[in-house]
Amino acid sequence: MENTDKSLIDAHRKGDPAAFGELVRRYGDGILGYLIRMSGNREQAEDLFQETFKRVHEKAHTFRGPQFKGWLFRIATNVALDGIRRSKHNKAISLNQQLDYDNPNSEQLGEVVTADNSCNPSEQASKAEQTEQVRRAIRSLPSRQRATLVLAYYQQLSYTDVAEVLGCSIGTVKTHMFRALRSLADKLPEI
Amino acid sequence: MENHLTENELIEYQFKLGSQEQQNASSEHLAGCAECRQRLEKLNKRFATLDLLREDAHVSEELISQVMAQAKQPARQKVVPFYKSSWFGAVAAVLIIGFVLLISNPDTDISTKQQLAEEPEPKGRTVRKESGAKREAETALPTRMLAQDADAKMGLPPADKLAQEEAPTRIVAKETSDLTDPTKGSARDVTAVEAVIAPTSKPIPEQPPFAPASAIELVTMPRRDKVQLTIYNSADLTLVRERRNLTLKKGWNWLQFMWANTLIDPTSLSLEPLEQAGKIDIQQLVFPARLRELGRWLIHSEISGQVPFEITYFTSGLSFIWARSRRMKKR
Repeated sequence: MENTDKSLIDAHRKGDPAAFGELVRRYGDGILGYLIRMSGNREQAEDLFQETFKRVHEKAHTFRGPQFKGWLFRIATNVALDGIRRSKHNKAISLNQQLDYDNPNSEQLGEVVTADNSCNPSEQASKAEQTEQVRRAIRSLPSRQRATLVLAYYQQLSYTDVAEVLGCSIGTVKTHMFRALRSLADKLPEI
Repeated sequence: MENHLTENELIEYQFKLGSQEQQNASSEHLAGCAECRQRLEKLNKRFATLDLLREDAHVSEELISQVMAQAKQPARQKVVPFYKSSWFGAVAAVLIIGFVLLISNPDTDISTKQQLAEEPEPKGRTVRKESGAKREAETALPTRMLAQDADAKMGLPPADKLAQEEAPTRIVAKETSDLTDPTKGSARDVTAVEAVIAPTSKPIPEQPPFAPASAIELVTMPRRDKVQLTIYNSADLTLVRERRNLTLKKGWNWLQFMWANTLIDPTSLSLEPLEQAGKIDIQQLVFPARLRELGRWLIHSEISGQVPFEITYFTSGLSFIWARSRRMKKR
């Protein structure tokens, strides 16, 4: 029988390290994807990932349920928003990454180009450019709107769950979502 | 078909952001409007580019092991600083109120209140009934009262002056009773004035006076007798030691020091009596609000007369150049 989130977190509270490992594996991919989309940078996302699970470990005793996933995403959101706020002040650019010549602040082009080997070089370049445009468009959103969009669109959480994660009303979530989409509609590339 | 859906309505419809009624209305419209369907399709294509970032992220075993290593360490206990604790505000408020009550002198307050309460009513009533020369009494009395009140607050008149001050007040009282119609209430007038005089005969408490709002009652700063400068060239700092003879009166004295258009550091100001140190107490240095570039020392003196003082402070903007004289070179 598969362990529930509640039983795993209870076991972790009692000092079972395997239970915590199970939770990390269960939600790790989703949380990392969320943090990559929020930060727009894998390196930073990995740092935020560690910080998120560190907080989960430290705050496990405060978890009252019922949904571990919502609670986890709430922590991840707080960590991501803190991290984004900090990174605005202390911007670090890796020395061994290729730069987008249109945008000297871009840090992601190399990663995208190597991601897809199935297309021919021109298609690959075009896709890379579009991906970069999408990434830039998302990055240009205010952090709350970005969190709402990523949670609702990419993580496929319902608006009710997003509201719980962000600690606001469903109406607020819908407003953030609408504004994010309205803004993206002008910035996203046409295929 | 008229009234096509706007782009905002299309977004709301596509992402289910509107109410159920709006959704139904948009759905009905789209069913019968090819143009809006086409626009919706175009919008969807544009939003489909969002899926370019839908690639799955996989957590590496290395990252998981790093997280697990963190989890093996005991959870950090968050220490809430005392000043951030929830009840700190309440404790601080109680302490502040207690401190304020402690430092306030209830005797002085009560006597002042009594004075203020007792003073105006009897004399006001009496004098309003009179005319002509009685006006003098009316004007004389409040002036005297204000002076007494101010003196009581400032703690200025020494005990030996009190007897002298009482005399003119009694004269005023006598004049008032003389001028008042004897049948109507001279006795009441005398009582009123006596009530006013009574508090002044009490010993004045040793309460520091309030800082004067104006330059009245200030000790004048005389010219300096001696100056000693210690110039720290590298730090652009100069220690100034001035010696001045100040004339103090017995009791409380305010000494004003101004440094307008200088580079004096007011936080470094210090005042020390060079003689009679045991009888002179420098209580505080006040920087009055709304008055720039001046400070006032409150000095309590048990003696009256001239006392040499040393004023020290830091200033900047002074430097020296070391130049050997020709004579020294020859040597």
